[in-house]
Amino acid sequence: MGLAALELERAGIATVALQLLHAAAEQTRPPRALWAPFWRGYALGDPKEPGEARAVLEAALEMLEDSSLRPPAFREFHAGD
Amino acid sequence: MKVWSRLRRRLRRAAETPFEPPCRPLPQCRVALVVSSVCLAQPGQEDDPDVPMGRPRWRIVGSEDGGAAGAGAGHNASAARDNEDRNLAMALEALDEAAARGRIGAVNGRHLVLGGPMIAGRGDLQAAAREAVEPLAADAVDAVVLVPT
Repeated sequence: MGLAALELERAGIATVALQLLHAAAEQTRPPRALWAPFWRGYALGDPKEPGEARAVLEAALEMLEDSSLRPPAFREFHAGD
Repeated sequence: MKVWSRLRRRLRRAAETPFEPPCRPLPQCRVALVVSSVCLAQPGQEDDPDVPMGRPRWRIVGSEDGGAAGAGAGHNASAARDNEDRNLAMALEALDEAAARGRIGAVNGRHLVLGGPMIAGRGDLQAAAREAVEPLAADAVDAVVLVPT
């Protein structure tokens, strides 16, 4: 994810990478990373709870438009945010 | 001294990281998803017969597919019940809703899914990463949400 994010940013496409593992974010250092505290395979939360996916996506979009962030920017998502 | 050196290292890394703000306000941005379950091979893993390793390839998934085709790429591919849910791997419903209420400009007509549950060497992953640019740039995508599965 991180390597793709870097290449897309170099091409002028803004990115935000959801991450399930802190280690993965630290290793590849994507420009913007949002850590989601879910099981592997469920980056957007429980698929039966569409509200979770909406909340994760919203947190990711907020990172995209936050002009105060500097790379590599890392934020943690907390349910109920 | 250690603190200074650590700070210098961090500043250098930050300078090396490309960082593009969206080129227009988010309510005007075209957004795509990039989904991957491929992990970077760790030392010693290359010789592990239980861990599939290879050269990952991108698949293009249209929004009209509803993401179902992308769901099978994930680490929970055996969980048939969840694979039936189009939003397990791809947040297309949430993305469509964001577009409908004007939070983003549009959902791109196609999205990228990389490989399946496998590992790959850094060179192969970097090559795949470079290949992701062309289709999304051709679609004039402004922003991408990357989703691990």
